[in-house]
Amino acid sequence: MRPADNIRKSFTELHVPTSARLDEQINVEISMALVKARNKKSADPLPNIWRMIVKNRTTKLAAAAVIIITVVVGIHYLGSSGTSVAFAEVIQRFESVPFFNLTIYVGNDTTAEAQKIEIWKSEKSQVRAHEANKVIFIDFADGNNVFVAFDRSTMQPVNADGIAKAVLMWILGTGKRFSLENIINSLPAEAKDITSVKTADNAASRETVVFEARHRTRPEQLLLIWALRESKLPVRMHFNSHSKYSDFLFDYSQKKDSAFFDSNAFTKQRDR
Amino acid sequence: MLEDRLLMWKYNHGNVDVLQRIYVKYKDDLMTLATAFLYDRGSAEDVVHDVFVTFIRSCGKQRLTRSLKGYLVTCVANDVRNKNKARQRHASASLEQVSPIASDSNRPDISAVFGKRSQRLAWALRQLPCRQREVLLLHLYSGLKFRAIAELEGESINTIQGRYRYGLNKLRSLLNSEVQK
Repeated sequence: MRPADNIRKSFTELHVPTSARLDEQINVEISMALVKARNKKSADPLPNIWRMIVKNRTTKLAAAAVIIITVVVGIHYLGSSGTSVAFAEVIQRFESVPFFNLTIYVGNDTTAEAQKIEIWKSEKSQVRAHEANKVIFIDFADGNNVFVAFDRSTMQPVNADGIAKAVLMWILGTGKRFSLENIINSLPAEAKDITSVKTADNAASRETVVFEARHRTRPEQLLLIWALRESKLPVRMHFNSHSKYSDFLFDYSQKKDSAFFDSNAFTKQRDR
Repeated sequence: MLEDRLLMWKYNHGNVDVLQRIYVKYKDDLMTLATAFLYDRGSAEDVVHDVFVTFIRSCGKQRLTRSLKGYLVTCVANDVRNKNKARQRHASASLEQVSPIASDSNRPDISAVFGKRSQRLAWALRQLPCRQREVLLLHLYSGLKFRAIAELEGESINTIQGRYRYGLNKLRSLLNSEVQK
């Protein structure tokens, strides 16, 4: 063995793994790229198949049959646990709520403690988020999505980058609105089918309905969404991917006043 | 190798589904390389983060032609160099001062970063001049050819081979002297 080979061998033993935090940040960045790509794809003009269909009487009838079958099959799958709640209704209902509080726990199997992030949305489309010692403000009503962040102890401006910002951008998507649809759009093509989960017939299942999106080839990757049967509002969302998980808990009971969402009011406390 | 060709082809055509696979495949290699350049885990993570974020955002906008790993390694090396230049400007110190020569008292830090198994090599590498260390890491750890390193550094291939020889000799004598102690 040449001397350089000994040294070459010892070079291969160098190994510094990336941290879970960096993995999470890059995964969020990849999810955002997926959302962008999907939105771009849906915005791209499609070949004019519709015109081809309506020109021909036979294809017109065939298209009508396909639409009817799709609707029947869709109702069968989304309502398989005897529920009349369709996931589209949950998406629609969530978009119509004026305010909410979202608590997110992000963790992985190797670390004992999960990271906690809290997000509040106001009636005027203002958002405040807490991540560790950082507070983030964003007003997305104007569509500019400018993030302003401060340290909660020193009240000095800090960089807004982090998991909270990434999650906000994930739920906001490019549509500039809080929507579960943005989350579904970010899933890989193999995990986009939302089905309702058959649950045991008990008091809890009579009040809640569970939806899941499971990866076709990697079943450990899944998204579960719990929604209230009557109001159709989501109450919990669990996202599992490899050894990482995120838990989203929705709360609609507390309305915060406008000063809570005002970054200027926050800085005034510091200047006082 | 064949997988990399396929990943590159998909990446060039804007298929974002391959980004996760590329990240998982190369993240630790790039992290190790950046840490060996900078001897600071935090700064190394910043480099790997910046490189991947730029890479993800350029999916479908740029065309990779040679080697996927070579491209990512070159990005890391360039980013490290930019970081060092910025630090140099900031501290108005030389590159050698930026990466201070380690003494034996630095051993615990090195083992904390690289693990006990590689601490001897990591310690010896840290004694080398920055440019020699760079050539050794790019050639022996990342497998870049001398021609590619010469292009990256903007130097002639002879200069790079010279740095490699000097670096390797010094590294060998450092490791031998360490064994004799």
